[in-house]
Amino acid sequence: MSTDTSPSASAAVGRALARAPWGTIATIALVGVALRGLLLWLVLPLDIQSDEANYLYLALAKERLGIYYDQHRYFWPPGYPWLLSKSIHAFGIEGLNVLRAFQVGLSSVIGVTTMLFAWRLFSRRAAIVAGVIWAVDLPLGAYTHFLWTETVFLSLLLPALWHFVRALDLADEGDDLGATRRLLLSGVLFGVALYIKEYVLFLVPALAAVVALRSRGAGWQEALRRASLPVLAVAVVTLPWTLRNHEVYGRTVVGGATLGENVFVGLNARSMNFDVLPLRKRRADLGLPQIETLARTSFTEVPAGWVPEDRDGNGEIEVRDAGWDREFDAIHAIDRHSSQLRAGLAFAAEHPAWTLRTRLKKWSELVTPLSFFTRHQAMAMYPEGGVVAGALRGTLVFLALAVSTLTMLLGAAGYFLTLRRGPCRAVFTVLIGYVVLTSLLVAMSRFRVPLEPVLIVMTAGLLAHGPQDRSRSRVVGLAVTLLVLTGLWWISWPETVAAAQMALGVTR
Amino acid sequence: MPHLVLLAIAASMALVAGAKHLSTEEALRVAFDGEAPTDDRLWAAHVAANRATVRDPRLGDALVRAFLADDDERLREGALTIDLSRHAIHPPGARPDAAPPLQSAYVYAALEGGEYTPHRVRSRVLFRRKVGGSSVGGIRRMALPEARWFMDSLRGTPLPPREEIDRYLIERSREPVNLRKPR
Repeated sequence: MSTDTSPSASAAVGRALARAPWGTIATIALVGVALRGLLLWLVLPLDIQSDEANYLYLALAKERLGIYYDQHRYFWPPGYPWLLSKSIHAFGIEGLNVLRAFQVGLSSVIGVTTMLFAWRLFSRRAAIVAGVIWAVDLPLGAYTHFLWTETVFLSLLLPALWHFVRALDLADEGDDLGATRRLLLSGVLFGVALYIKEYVLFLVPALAAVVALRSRGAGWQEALRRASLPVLAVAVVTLPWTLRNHEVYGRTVVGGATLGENVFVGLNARSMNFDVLPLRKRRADLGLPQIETLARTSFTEVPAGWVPEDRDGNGEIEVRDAGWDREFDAIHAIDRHSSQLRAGLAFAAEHPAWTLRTRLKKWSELVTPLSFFTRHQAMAMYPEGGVVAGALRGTLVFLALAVSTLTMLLGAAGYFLTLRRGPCRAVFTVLIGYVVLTSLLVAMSRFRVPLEPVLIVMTAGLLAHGPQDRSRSRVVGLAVTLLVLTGLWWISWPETVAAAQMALGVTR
Repeated sequence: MPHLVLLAIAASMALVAGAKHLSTEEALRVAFDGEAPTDDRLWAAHVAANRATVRDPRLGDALVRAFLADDDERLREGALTIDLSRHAIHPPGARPDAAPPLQSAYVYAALEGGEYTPHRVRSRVLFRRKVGGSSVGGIRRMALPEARWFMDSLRGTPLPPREEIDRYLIERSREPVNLRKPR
């Protein structure tokens, strides 16, 4: 199949999609789901950890009192705690495992969409390669047994992106009605995704700009009509929640409110790497030095001249004793945003060199080969004596590290050398840029999850078809990207190695 | 056309929301109304507590006392959530991040009858494991046993003996503070 995605080729793409290898796609998706189901069965019983406990608290409170409460420092969208509350209402505490099983099944949506993207962009062969990579993608697959939002969120985000790309295809073909329907559907899916994570709140307007730019040939009025449709659909789908928030708070909150706390965490004196911070207790138990003491201090140390203060008065300077404090007088998370954003930006402006080196550190944490699967292994969260923490531990951890590393490397090569210009490349570029830019504030491997299917698709394209475009600009782009990627890995290398050793269990 | 349909849907939702609007004065009245249904009082307290932008003694003291003195266990548990905890009125000289005193006294009162009742277990979980830090009474995250006891308490499943619950709570409270997981 041609990789040409110019407007004239888009019609062919649209017709060819009718002949998508659904049988093959469904078979691979079933295998991927079966592997995730097997993994779930092997890791049970599983305790809850970190934000899992917070989601569960909200679900229990909702179950008992019928109200969705905020989290004081954050105000998360209600979707995931709502799912949890429904599950525990029906099945008791076993509802946690029922939800995990639901996520295993739901992950098929991620697999199918990933393969469809590879098919749409490249070929049947690429779709198969993408499906195989997705099936064994342990960092992604592990989220099906975590009570984090990622699986549910991706199951909405990827179809939303898929229909968005198809809308652009159909618009290029001159099928206005088809394009309108797809844009509407995409907006609805983005809107539902906002109930799970408010992460996409600013992604939709960015994508709408892509529609407007690509539709400018049809006149600006038509471009505006198309571009406004997904934004309007998102607004309508999220309106019940927005209106509920307005009733409760008397102020407007769309989706959630996490910016203020993220600024406190991300634009503050102490460096916090959430792929390794939760390992503190385990390292203390093992008699190991804390990972932050191993970090390259050039990228983590506090601004010159900053004097740490024991803010909580416990006699120790800790990660929580930050350079600037939370807004105390504002009692609601939604009201702390603006003041904490101002404080964070002022702190960053006051320490420009610190800001620069710590932003590099954030990006380094975004592209770390670690994952929450390796973090769970490092924290000894999986059942002791079980296969996942026992006989297969080393193999699985190596697989997780390898998948993360290779999909980043090969995905970058696929993006530059195999992926042709076209609507899908534009959408992928916007998504990559969005993830990279939002990670300037707070980053960890989990924030890379929205990109992982995209990396799989581009990796599959490269593996299936090899380099297709060796133009100078593409090769230089790839070389610069790989250089930056290597540099970013180097920045967090000591923590990565220490956490990987813990995951492998070689520190015992 | 789709734009018009979407705008019409949005307008309809806004109209419905406007019709169902509860004024803050009415919310306060319902929250304190001992004759009002529990769900209405909980919702009214939720609305009043979140609309207030500064700590309000009517919510952090009077309403907490009213809820904690009520016969309905759900209302008493409703006093322990973040809504009213963030309006806590502290005695002079208390640390700014001190736990809400009224709720703390209730949750840590001596056990009646020597065993944890389902309500006591739920109270402990709702107050201590809430998300948000010590200033609203939260400390450490919930672990699976507490969640299981919470659900068991709702389903009428017998709870473990006091010794087991106490042992668990003591072990959790001994977790070194400087090793708390920050997220």
